[in-house]
Amino acid sequence: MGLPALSLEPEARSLLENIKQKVSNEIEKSKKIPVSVLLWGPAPDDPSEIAQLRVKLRSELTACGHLAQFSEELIETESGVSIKTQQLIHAQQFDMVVSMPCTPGSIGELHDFISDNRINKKLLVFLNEDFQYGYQFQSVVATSSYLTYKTITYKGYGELHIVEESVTSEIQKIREIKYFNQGRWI
Amino acid sequence: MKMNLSEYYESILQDEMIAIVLAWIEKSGSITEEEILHEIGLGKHHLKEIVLKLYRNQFITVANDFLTISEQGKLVIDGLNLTEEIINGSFSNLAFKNKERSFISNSIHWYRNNYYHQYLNTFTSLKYWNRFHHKKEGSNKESEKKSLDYSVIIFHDILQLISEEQNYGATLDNILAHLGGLKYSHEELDYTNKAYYFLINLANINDKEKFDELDNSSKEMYAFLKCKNIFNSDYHKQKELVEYLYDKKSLSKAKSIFWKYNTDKLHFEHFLPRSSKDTTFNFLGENHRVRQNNTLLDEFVFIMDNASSISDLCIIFNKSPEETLGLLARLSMKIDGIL
Repeated sequence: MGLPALSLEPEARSLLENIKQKVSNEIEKSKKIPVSVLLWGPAPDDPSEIAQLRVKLRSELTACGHLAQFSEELIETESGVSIKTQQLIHAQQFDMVVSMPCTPGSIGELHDFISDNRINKKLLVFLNEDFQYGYQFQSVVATSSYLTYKTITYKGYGELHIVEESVTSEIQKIREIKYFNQGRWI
Repeated sequence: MKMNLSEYYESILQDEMIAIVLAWIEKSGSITEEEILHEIGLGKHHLKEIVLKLYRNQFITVANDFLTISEQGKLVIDGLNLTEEIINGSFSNLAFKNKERSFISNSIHWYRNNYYHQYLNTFTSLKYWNRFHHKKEGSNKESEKKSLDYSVIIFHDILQLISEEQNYGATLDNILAHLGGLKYSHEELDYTNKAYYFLINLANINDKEKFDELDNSSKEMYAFLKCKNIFNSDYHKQKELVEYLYDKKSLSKAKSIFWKYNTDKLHFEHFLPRSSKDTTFNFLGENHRVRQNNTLLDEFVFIMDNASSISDLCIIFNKSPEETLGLLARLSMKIDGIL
């Protein structure tokens, strides 16, 4: 069915213009809502591509008005509190924790957090399928796929764009939910 | 009720048109993609993408190609603070004075917050009514007529709901109390009063002779109010109508489809004795009679005359059947004693 072209009545045109203006203003407001993101992964000076991506994400998210931080920026070595406990405390204060482990050992460290219901619902986990035959990968996938906010796998560094796109898209969704719910998302 | 990230599949604020389309769907009550395309001038492919996103996020429901906002979608419109634009935009060009404007706006907000589905249904009715009655030249008389029609359609639906909510008919005063309208004078609520008394007149039509005495415009409104809900749920008929609705050359064809539909239904429904399920105007008629005989005894006599069973009385008195029977037995003994 093809309807013929229609010129809107003046009242409808004016209503449409008002709605457009309002939507535009509200979207601008939403862009000022920051999402706090903790980025877990390899150290920035690590030569791996995922370490570089972690740095890139921090810079891109900051440019979009979010608060993106690395754990190592927050750790207080003199505090006498273990790193794991400090990470748990940090994670509770952030809207989202993005975990990008780059070795089988670091995948295993995730076990410390994925069963903790104070933070697991805000864990966005990326797992490299290059490690899929290892025990750590398989056990983390088995538990994190239902305990975490989301667990996404990618096929090696050739698919790092999946990580980048997913992080930006999920952070945008949280920003929108915070906007709709006036600050709360979880 | 809050938005939930686990059900929020796709971001929607990165394309302004998504929120605009969402608001346009609410403003229309229900609408097809074809109608949206021709009303807000989007590319077909772009609209498809938008509708898909809205559907995936469960912000809209789809029935026979008609899109309607869901409760989840309402939250998005609330979050975007678009309600004011949609509600006030529905009567911005009408002749209401400021205080009545504010009363109508508050009433529709109340309606939307409490009966979202019915509110959308009313906006669908307004969409069809407006398309059939639009005239380019806006004389004062025409603007007054449009304002009265708008008030009649809106208040007919709101009054009916309030009446159902109270389990008893709606008087003008208790409706105004319900909607925060008692602070306004009758003069300030000019169109609301006119709409109420217009509806009272329609409520007194109970045979064909009285119907034939109405002017054409009142006949049209009578048929519309009687049949609009049946029409709004008949998506097949609506689709047939939409094909003609947007082409000025075939608008008269659309109009004839619409009125034939309504008058056909009217023949079936109206000129038969009223059934208890036909509440189009009954709630107003009963009330008006109560209001005219405004004494306690008259109200009581009226109730007893009109109640056909114990269950009717249970509803009116808001009592259980046992309590109602007990009260009636006591009254009967008392009346016997006095007589």
